[in-house]
Amino acid sequence: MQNVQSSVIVRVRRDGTIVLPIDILRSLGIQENDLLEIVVEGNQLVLRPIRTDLWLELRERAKKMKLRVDLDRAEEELDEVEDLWLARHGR
Amino acid sequence: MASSTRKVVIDTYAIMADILGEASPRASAILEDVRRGRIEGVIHYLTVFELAYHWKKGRLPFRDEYELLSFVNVYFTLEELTPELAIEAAKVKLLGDKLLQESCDVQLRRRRLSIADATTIAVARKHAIPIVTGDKDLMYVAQKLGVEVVW
Repeated sequence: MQNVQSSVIVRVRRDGTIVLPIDILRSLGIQENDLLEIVVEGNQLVLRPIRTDLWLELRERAKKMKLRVDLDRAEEELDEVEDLWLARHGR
Repeated sequence: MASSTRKVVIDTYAIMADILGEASPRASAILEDVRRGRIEGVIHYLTVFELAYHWKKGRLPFRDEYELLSFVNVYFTLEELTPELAIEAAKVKLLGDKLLQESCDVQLRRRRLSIADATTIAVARKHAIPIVTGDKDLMYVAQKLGVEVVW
């Protein structure tokens, strides 16, 4: 990866998408499927490459926290909440 | 599941089971492909609602809501909730409740299909794709309606 100082103007599309120039991505070693974090700093947007994988991190965190959940019971709990809502709104 | 499948619907149960290390080997393999971007994982608004609910109950290890939003944005395609989908989900719910009531399984007979589960089945039928879930009532109704379930 080389240290690049460059500036380019891109247009924001209707759905909020922007296209990042491939040369800039290559120069920073960013590839397809890589993740970028969008940071708002004052009136600036900073795109920062993410080198860690959030999903893997969540699995690790759950293991460290020794999270134990009865998934069937959790599912039933939500159903009970929904039943109450439906009863209130005229099942 | 056919090897050509590149898209699946994933429910809250499967996502939680994966993060908590309780998913079946088959589901884990598919979710791993979703994580790596090899298979498109579709979820809907109510899946996000349920993830947020369980996170607020201390059952999922997100640090804050931005991290939860990042998780949703990075790994999944969010199915748009259209009036057409809502109507299909309502039909699935009524049918699902009836199927559960008529089930031979006593446990299933006392369950009702949740709105979230009915929407998950409606999304799967719309795209003709499998559902990844270990949720028993969702599995039962989906299979009765001819939707492939992976667990």
